[in-house]
Amino acid sequence: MIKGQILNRESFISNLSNILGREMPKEVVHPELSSKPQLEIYKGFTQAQLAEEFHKNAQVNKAGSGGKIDSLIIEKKDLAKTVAEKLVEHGTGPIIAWNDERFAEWGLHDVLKDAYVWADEKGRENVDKALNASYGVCISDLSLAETASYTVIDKLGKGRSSNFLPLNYVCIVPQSTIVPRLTQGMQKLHEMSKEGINPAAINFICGSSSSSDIELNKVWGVHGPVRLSYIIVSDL
Amino acid sequence: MGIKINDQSFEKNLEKNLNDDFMRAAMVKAQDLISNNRKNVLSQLGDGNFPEWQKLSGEVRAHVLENLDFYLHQFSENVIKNGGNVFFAKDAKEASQYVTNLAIERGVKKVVKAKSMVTEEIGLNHKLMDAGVDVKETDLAEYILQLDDWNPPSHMVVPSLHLNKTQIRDVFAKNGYTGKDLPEDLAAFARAQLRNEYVTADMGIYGCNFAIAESGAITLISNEGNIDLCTSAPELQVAVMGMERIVATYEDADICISLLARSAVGAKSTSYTTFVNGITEEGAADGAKEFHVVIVDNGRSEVLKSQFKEVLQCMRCAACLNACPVYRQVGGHSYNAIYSGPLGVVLTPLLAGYDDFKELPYMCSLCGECTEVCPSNIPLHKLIHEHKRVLAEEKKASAFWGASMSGAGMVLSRPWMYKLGTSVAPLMTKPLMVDGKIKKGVSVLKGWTDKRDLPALEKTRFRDWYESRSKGGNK
Repeated sequence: MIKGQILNRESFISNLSNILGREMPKEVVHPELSSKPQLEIYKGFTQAQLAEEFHKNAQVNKAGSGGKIDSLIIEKKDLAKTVAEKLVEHGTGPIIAWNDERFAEWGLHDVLKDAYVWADEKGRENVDKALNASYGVCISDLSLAETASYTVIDKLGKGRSSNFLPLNYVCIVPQSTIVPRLTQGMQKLHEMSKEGINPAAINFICGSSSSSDIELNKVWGVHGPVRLSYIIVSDL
Repeated sequence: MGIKINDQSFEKNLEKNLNDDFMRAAMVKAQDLISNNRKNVLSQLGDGNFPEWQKLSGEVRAHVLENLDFYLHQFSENVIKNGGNVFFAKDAKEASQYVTNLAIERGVKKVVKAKSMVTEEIGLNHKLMDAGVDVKETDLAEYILQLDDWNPPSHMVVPSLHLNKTQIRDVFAKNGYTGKDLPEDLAAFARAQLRNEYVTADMGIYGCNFAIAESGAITLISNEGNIDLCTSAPELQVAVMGMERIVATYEDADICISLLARSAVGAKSTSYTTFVNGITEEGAADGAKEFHVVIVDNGRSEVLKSQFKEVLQCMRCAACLNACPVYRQVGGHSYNAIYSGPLGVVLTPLLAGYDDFKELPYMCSLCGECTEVCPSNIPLHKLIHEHKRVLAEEKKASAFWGASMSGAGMVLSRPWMYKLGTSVAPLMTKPLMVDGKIKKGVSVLKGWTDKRDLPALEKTRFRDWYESRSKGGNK
């Protein structure tokens, strides 16, 4: 394993500087964008309105996916019951979940008692569990109303494979995590990066795995989850 | 494979493709479907509108090109901070050799790979296979093309567009598939074949939609989720990017990503938008333990100093392919290169030279539709026109073309010659007439009359008719 190696940079960059007709600048002032239409989308919306928009756009995705995507808005008191229903909706089978204290805080301890909980110290066993899981469960770190996207930000205890290998996926979307669109998501990543926080992976996900590569016919579940359920929780 | 996809002449390629009725119908279907979806989602871009977003995207991309040295330097520094490694490759050979050496040194037996135009450009797959590495393309279309003996891509976003489901079934049947030619069954077969490959591969290779200078992130955009799996399980991961595929900030990435999915597939977003920032946390059970970015020049720096530099703003969405009336008729393989459509017409001769691709600029009617739809604000049709100018002025066009243009220039600049020519043309074409139409043309007319009849030339010239009409003659 090697880290921190840069090869051929000097000659490569100096060639570019020559082409650009100057030395490489020490600093570049990034010009302001000439307009910012992206900030006008859902401008001034309350969290409840953003949740409605998220749900509405998830319903559009649902219609486009032949029902493979589902979305509903509930209150926290109904979360355990709703998650339990979703985890048997397409038959029973192995469940994989993040190692996240919030599941217990939100009353999901019993619902997930038989689930395999991602444990990094067990190494590749986690990946095998994800490969054979019928359901995966996660919590959105950041949610985009415009595209009905949930986000998983990589961290110990979550695993990456757990997000992409299970057959069906259930995502809990706390209303407080919903922002208008990718613009605000990028602002968040920018702020994190300025503080030196660059998670190894950040995944924005707005649908189940799909492809139109065979005569442009849309098919679902080509690699990752076939079905995706959003549970938007209005008081989280 | 490299940039050129076969050694047949341009004319032979074209002739073959013009006789492929399924492929031609597929191109029409793809253009109509994706273009309509694109128009719908672009109309929903909030209170903004496409030309405004297009302008913004052009600003963002042009700014990076003006400061490419600075941003590549900044990006590479941040990749290092994220625990990765960076290799700057001046050409295809250096880039593919670096990745292959890495595979050999780490004892890699199997690679899972996501769709990437630049890895096609540098011929990476065959280099790895020559070194004994088992390469698994995981994008469904690329997987189909790999099983079909590395059939070349015909579209940048839907590479297997030229194959019908029965052909795909036959390809899969050679690999153990026993089902019917139903798309969902064929996709399920691919899923079953590939899922285990992700978790047993030693190395993941993917491209890069946008690199983000301020953080060192690689942005990856897909619907299938195969890229996310390539970035999940393999411990050794390599991202390969053209040197121009960079934006300064996350704010700039927002503009480009917002337009990319809408322009490429006519959706507000692809199912997966992923940012990879180097190696995973210490102790994590999956994710990259070793991460490399290969930044490829391969002729791009020559483009940067040329009058064609705006083509480096391209984000490979293929909107220009989906709008082009020529691509619609001839399909991707007629360009004889991995980059097709208007982008291919501009880029291919720049990266691979005029010698093999001097015909490409003439696969354009200069209608300008590609420029209208380009989310990166590239004046594609003007760049194609510039290629034509270069070819004409540097005499790289064929002798026939040069003689024809000289002849036309001579006639058109001399009114008496023009009048004489247009007066005798009906007489000259009379021997070609059958049932009042020109059915079997010669020379340049043959290309037309092979496909359709040419109406007979009127005996009265337009100018003469118009002059007579203005004097109250025949209307």
